[in-house]
Amino acid sequence: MFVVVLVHLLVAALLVVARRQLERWAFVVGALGPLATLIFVVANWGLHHGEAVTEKWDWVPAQDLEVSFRVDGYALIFLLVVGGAGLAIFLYAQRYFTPARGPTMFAATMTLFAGGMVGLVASDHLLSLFVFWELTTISSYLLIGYDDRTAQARSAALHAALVTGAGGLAMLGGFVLLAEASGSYLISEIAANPAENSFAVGLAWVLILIGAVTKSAQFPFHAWLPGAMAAPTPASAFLHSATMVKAGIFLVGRMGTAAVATVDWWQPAVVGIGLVTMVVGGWRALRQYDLKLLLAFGTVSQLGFMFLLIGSGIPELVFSGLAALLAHALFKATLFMVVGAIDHEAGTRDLRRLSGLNRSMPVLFAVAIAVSLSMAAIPLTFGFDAKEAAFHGLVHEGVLWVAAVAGASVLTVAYTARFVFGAFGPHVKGQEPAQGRRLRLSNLLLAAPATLAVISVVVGFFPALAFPVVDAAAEAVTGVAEAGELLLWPGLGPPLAWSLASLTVGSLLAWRSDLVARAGDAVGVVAARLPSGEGTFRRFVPGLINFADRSSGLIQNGSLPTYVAIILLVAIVMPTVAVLSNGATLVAPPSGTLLEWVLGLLIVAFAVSLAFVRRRFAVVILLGGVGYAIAGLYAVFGAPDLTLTQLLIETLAVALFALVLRHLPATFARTATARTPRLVVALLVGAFVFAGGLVANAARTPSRVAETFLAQSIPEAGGSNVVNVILVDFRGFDTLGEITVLVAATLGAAGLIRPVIRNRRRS
Amino acid sequence: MSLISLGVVAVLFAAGTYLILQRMLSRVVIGLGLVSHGANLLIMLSGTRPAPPPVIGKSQVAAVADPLPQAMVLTAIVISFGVTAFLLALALRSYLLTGSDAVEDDLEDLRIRGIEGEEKGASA
Repeated sequence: MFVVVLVHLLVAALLVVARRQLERWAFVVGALGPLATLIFVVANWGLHHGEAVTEKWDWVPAQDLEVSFRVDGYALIFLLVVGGAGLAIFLYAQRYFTPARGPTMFAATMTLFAGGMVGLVASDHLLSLFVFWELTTISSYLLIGYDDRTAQARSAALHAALVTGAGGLAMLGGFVLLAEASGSYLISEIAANPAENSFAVGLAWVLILIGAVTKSAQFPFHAWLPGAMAAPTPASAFLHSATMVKAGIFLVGRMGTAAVATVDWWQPAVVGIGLVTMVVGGWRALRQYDLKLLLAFGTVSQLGFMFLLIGSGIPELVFSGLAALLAHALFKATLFMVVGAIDHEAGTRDLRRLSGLNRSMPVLFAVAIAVSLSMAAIPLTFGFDAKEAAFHGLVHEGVLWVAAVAGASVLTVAYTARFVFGAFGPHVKGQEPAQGRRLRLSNLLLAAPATLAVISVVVGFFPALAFPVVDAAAEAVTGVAEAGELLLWPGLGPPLAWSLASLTVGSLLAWRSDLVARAGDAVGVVAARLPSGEGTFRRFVPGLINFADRSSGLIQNGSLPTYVAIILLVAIVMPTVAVLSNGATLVAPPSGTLLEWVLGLLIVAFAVSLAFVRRRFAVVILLGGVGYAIAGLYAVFGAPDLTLTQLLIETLAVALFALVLRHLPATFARTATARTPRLVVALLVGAFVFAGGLVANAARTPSRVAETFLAQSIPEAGGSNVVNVILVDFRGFDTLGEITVLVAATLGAAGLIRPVIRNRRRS
Repeated sequence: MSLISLGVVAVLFAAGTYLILQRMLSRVVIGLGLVSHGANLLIMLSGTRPAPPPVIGKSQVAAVADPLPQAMVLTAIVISFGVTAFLLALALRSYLLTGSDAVEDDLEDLRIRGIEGEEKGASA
C-alpha cells in the first residue's frame, strides 16, 4: 500500500519537475498512479471474511503516531473506484486539454489528489486518515480554482475549501475525543470496542458527522459542490462525483456500525440528512439549464441516497449502498465526460441551445443513453440492481422508509429525462441553437466514457460480477456476509412495485415538465425568502472578516500602555480565580521588627515619590535610595552577600542613570496618558501582589534542597559560605550563563550608544 | 515574611506598574527597576524571618537563613542591572535619533483601526 501512495507522490513530483518535457503526455504519465491502484486491487481481489492487508510505519513512536494502512474489503471497493474511474478520466483528460493550455500542473494536482484519496481509504490510524483527508481538500481547492483568472472559479474554490476544511477541523476534534475515550487511534480497534457513551463521546460523534456531511456535500452544506463545477470537467468527473465527495460516505460507513452501537441519534440523523439531501438535490437538478450543474445537483441527490444507506449501519442497506456507490461511479463519471465532450465540441452546455446531437454525435448519444438508464434505475441496468437491493432492505425497515426513498427517486428519474432530452433531444422553440463547430468527436474523447458505459451495461446484465466486491465490502464493516442480493430480475414483490411506482411518477413528471417548471416558479418565490446555502455562505465570509477587523481594531488599538495594562489585568484575574475557587489558608504574618519598619517606610516613601517626581536628577537620587534601603533589608534577613551585591550594583546603576540622563532634558515631558486608569491598574497590581504574598507565605514548606546544600557545602566544595558555594560550585554553570547574559547586554548597549555619540562628536 | 516587608513589596510593584504604564521610555526603565526590586524582595523574604546568614561554623545550621533564594536573587539582581543598562541605552538612542524617548502608537495597529473606520464610513 505504501508503494501505491508513493507512486502517486513520485509521479506528481516528476510532473512538476519535468513539466516542460512531459507537457504533451502529462495525463498519460499521471495515469501511472491510478494504474498502480488498480494493480493493487487486482492483486488483492477477493479479500473476504474479515481478511485485510496491513502495513505500518512508525512515524513518532513516542506519541503513538503512525501511518498504518489496513485494506479490507471495504477499502478495496473504494480503491477500485479511485483506480478505475481515475484511469479512465486521466486518459480522457489527455485529449480534453490541448497542450497549449499547459495542463501539466493540473495533471500533477490530480495525481496528488488520487494519492491522497488512496491513502484516505486505506488508513487505519485516525490521524493519518485526517492528513490524507486534508490533502484531498487542498488538491480539490487547487483544481476548482485552476482557471485562476476568473473570479468565479477563485471564489468557488475558496467556498469548497472553507466548508470542507472547517468540517475537517471539526472531524479532527472528534477523532481526538473519540480516540482518547476509546484508548486507541486505530479505526479497526475502535470499531471492535466502541467507547461507551458519554458527553465527550457524543460530542466526538457529532463532530465526526459534521466532517462527513461537509465533505460529501450533504444538506445544509451542499452548496459548495455545484460551485465546484467551475473546475475543468476531468476534475469534476473525478473529484466531485466519483471519489472525493464519497470520502464522507466512506467515513460514515467505516464508523457507522460503532456509532449506531454507541449513540441512539446517529441513525435517525444520518437517514434524515441523507433524505433531505436527496430531495433538495433532485429538486434543484430539475431546475438547471447548465448540463454540468444539472449533473452536480444530481450528484448531491445521489450522495444523499448513499449517505443514508451506508451510514445507517443496517447490513442490508449498507450492502445496497455500496452497490449504488459502484453504479454511481460508473454512470456519473461517464455522464460528466459526456458533458465535457459536448462542451468541448459544441461550445456550450446550455440545454436550451443544444439540439440534434443524437444525429451529429450518435456514439456519444448511445453512451449517454446506456448510463442514463442506469442512473434512472430502469430495469436490466446496474443502477436498477442496486436500487432494488436498497428497496428490498428498506421494505424490511418499514413502509415510511421505503416510501420516502421512492419518493425522492421520482426526482432522479425526472432529472435524468431532463438531461437526456435536454442534451440530445429536439430543439426548443424560441431559443438560438448553438453554433456547432465540427461536432466530430475524436476517438480518445469517446473511448474513456464508452469503456465505462460498456462496463456499466455488462455489470447490469451480470450483477454476479459485482457481487463479491460489494459483499466483501459490506461484510468488512457490518460483519454480516451476504446481507443482500444483486439480481437481474428480482421477481415480483413489494420492492419491484416501489421501483415501478417511482419510475412511473418520474416519467409523468418528465413528460409534463411545464407543470414542474410552474411549480418550480411557485416554490422559487417561497424559497427566495428562505436563506439559501450559497447566499448564507456569501454573507458569512465578509461578515467574519468584518468582525475580525472590528474586534482587533478594538483590542489592538496601537497604544503600548493599553497592551501592558491588558496583560497585567489578565495576569491578575487568572490566578485570583484559581485561588478563590480552590480556597487558601491565610496565616496572619508578624508585623515586623523596628528596623524593618524604618527601612520599609523609607522604601515606600522613595518609591511613591518616584512615581510622581518629574525632575530627572531627583529620580536618580530616589532610585539610589530605594536600592540602598533594600540592601539594608537584605542584611536584616541574614543575606550579607545580597547586601554587598545590591550596594555595588546600585552604585553602578546610579552612575549609569546619571550618565544617560545627562543627555536628556531636565524634566520628563508630560504625555497625554490618562492618569486615573493607570493609577487603578497600578493599585490593583499592588493589592494582587500583597494578597498573593500572603497566600504564598502560608503555603511555603521548608526547602529540602537547601538542607542538602548546607550539608554538602564543606565536604564537597570546601566552602563555608553556602551562598557563594551554590553560585560558584553547585550551580556554577548557571552563573556562567548569567555572565554571558551580562556580556550580551553590555555589547548591545555599547553597540546602541557608540555610533550615535561618535556622530555627535563629528558634527 | 512580615507585614511591613510584604507592604514594601506591594508598594514597589504598584509604583513600578504606574511608571511602566506610560510612554516615556526612561520612566518605563525606572518602573521596571522598581518591579525588579519588588520581585527580588518577594523571592528572598517569602516564608522567612530575620535569621543569621548561612555561613557554616558561625551559627547553628538549623537556624540559618535559606541559602537557595539568596543565590537566586543574587543572580537576579545582576541580571536586572544588565537589562536596565540595555534599556537605558535604547531610550538614549531613541532620544538622540528622534528628539524624544516617548513610545508612539504602533503604525500597523493604527492601520487596522483605519480599515475598520473606512468600512464603517462606507456602510453608513
